[in-house]
Amino acid sequence: MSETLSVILSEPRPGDAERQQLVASLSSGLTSRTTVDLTVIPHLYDLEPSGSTMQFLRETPGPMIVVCWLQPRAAFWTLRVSDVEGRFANEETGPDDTRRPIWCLGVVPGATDKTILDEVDRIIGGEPPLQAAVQVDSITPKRREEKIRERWYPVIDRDRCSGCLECLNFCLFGVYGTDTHDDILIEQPDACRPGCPACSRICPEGAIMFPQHDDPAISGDAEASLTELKLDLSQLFSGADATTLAATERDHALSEMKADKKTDQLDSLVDELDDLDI
Amino acid sequence: MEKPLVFMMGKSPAILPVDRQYAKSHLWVMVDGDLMRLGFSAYAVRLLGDMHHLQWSVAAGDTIEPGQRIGYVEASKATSDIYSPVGGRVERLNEVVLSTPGLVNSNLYDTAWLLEVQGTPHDLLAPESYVQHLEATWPFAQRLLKGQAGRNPTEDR
Repeated sequence: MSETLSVILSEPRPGDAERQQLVASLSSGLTSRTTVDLTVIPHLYDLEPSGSTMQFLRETPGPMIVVCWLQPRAAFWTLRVSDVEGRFANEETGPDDTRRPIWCLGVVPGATDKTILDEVDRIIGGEPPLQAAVQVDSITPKRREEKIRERWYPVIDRDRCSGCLECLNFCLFGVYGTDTHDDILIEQPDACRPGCPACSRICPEGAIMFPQHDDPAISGDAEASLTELKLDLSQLFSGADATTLAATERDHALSEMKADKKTDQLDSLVDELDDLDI
Repeated sequence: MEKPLVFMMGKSPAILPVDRQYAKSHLWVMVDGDLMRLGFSAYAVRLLGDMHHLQWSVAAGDTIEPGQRIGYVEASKATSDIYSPVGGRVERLNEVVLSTPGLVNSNLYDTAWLLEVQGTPHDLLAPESYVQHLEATWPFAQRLLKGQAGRNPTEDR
């Protein structure tokens, strides 16, 4: 690739000096590459789909690298929520996929300015022609200004979503809805309860991400999200006594068995539980 | 100080100081006049693992009912809603624990208290009664930990 490539650098949320420092260093490193057309934007996840920055990203043509404070997969689907078209170039999608590539580089634990710049160079290909130091100092990267606030909403990996609508049935806050084809829709993202990742846990496909969550299984780590879902102990912590817990457990098992029409096993289960005498 | 009670969770001891009361929702309650200070019991902490995130759905000044869901905890092994065993007015949430949830793992009976509620204690358990509650619910807890609770038990045969 010889022409310049659009690189979008997302700022961290305010108040983290270490991350601000890393962004400054990345900004300077990227600006020094004549192959890079750098634009600095506010924190990607906090941008409104209707805002000017997402509008800018939708209108930016051609291949794009997005460096941000999210897991790469979460970053990509955050862009897609706002209709920024493209394919997730971090993964192979096949020769028939003609959408423009979007590489998402997450500033996740272990990443340094060097690892990120190396990855940018690898994507662009070959040694980057650097600008003379004196010029670099005089170049201010393009910056999109937009008034944002901290947001908390689910981001759906549409490649994983099977359309089971478990999330719609589960969420108490009216975040989800469906479109005219009965496909899941994040109807009211900002109705989501800040900090609550519950729908992500119940999603059978590991398709729902909360990019700002501490747990990699929730924030979009591709592997962890399918393997490391945690136990929910709410039932045990509800203060119920042994009898209530046993009854709840039995009712749950019964309803599952009824669904399976395994009536013979049902009888033996009831006998088993009666024998426990608790 | 009087010797604490110990409930064995398999091979792991859950230490339960006897200078306070406990609730079936696995919180300890320290009563001082009409002020109650609440925190996670060692049993709760052992089940949850390393605390990562604590979230309150109530704030200081709010009136809460016994049994009300007041928050949410996310830890290394599990997550759970938090239910208040007592009713009254929330006086204070422990800000230190909010910003440093890991304190619960190192200092659960002292500085890592969770919240203070002004009200009348009701339906709390003496340490001995709490141990009895743990003994009675332990089989269920074990099944839950093994991922078997709520599942068809015949699947594992």
